[in-house]
Amino acid sequence: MFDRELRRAVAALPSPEGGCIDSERLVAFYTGAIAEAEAEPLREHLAACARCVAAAAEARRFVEAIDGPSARQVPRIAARWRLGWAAAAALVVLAVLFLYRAAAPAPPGEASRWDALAIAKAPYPLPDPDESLLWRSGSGNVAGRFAEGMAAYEAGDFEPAARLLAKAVEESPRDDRARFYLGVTLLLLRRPAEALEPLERAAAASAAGVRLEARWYLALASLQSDRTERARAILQGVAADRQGSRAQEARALLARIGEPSPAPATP
Amino acid sequence: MVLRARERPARDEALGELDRLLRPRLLRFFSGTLLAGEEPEDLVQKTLLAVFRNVERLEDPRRFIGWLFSIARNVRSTAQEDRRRRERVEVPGPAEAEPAAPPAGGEERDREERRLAAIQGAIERLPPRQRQCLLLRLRDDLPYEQIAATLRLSPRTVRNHLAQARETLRRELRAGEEEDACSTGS
Repeated sequence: MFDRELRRAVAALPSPEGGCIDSERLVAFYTGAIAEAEAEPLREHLAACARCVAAAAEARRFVEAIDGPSARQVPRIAARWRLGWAAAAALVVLAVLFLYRAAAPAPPGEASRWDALAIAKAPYPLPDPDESLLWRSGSGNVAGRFAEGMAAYEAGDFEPAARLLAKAVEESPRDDRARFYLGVTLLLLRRPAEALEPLERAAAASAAGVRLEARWYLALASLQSDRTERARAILQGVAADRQGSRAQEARALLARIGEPSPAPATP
Repeated sequence: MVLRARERPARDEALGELDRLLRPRLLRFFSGTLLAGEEPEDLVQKTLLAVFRNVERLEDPRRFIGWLFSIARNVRSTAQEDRRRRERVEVPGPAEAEPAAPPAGGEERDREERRLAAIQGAIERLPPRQRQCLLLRLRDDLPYEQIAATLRLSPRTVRNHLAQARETLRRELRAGEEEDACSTGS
């Protein structure tokens, strides 16, 4: 009875004001290319607009269909395109690279100019009132492993912390929190290339606290792995997020990175 | 765009690679959303043609995937529209609409409207995340997993928000009813 009344009330709610979400923004929302501050109005609109919910389902199917193992071929294509096809086509490759994070890491032994960048430890636990229940996930040995890893992390013993956290992630692959701290630990151990994968995945976590902090550390790992453009794009998102605690730091780091280098001229 | 002769082979090669990269993925997308009478290969071909024709006008690389989605959607809706047009020619007009239900009596209708407005007010006052989850559950009948995917949240979070939303609404509406009873009784 109660449910039926609720349904009637919801069906009679007025349609949202303003236009629907365009296709490109929907896709950007599901690829994570939209900053959290910009995502909230999209959620509000989706909740109120049945038409956009249908379009959103389609956008998600599209993102799933487009993603896949063959995206790894892209760097090879990019190498061939250096022959000088139209600049726009090269940009397309960059776009795919950007979205699938498939670019090859910097060659080993080549020092990055960001090696000396001071990186602070991530706080533990992260403040995240909205998603607090997620923090209780994991049980038994996995939770124990995570706690041991974090004790080592807190004590500054990053080598054992990385081992224990990697084990926790292996045993509980959906634990974004363990993955996040593993990424930060690897970064603190000056192994930025290894930190990329756990931080990438933590940056897509559903818990807002993990996701927001992971984006900041992912930007640092990208910078130290000589992926300056990727770092710049992430930092721009972090800087634009007024609710995020890292906005100011992100702006300062963006200023240090400087402007993007000009695109190579088409012959 | 006019290309110099030495650029053409590189351009053709690049388009070939783009075709090879996108074709299986687009096929996967169209195959999952097909309606009767549509061939996924045709839709893929039309999408790729539009991509090749317009790719050089794309200025911001970050827009590529979204731009591709817009093209794919346009191609599919055009195909659907064509199909509907063909069906309209073949199929006779729709059957007569069912007669509408008779309206409720005045007093009962007022009470129902007040109740509906009270529920809507309570829904509007819910915290945003709870309200969003509730609307997708009740209006669109989405299961938890789909609500979670739509709002980019975890299913567990959705479950919690929904339980809290229902609890809040029950409490608020019960309190409203009690207030009404008091004012009617006094």
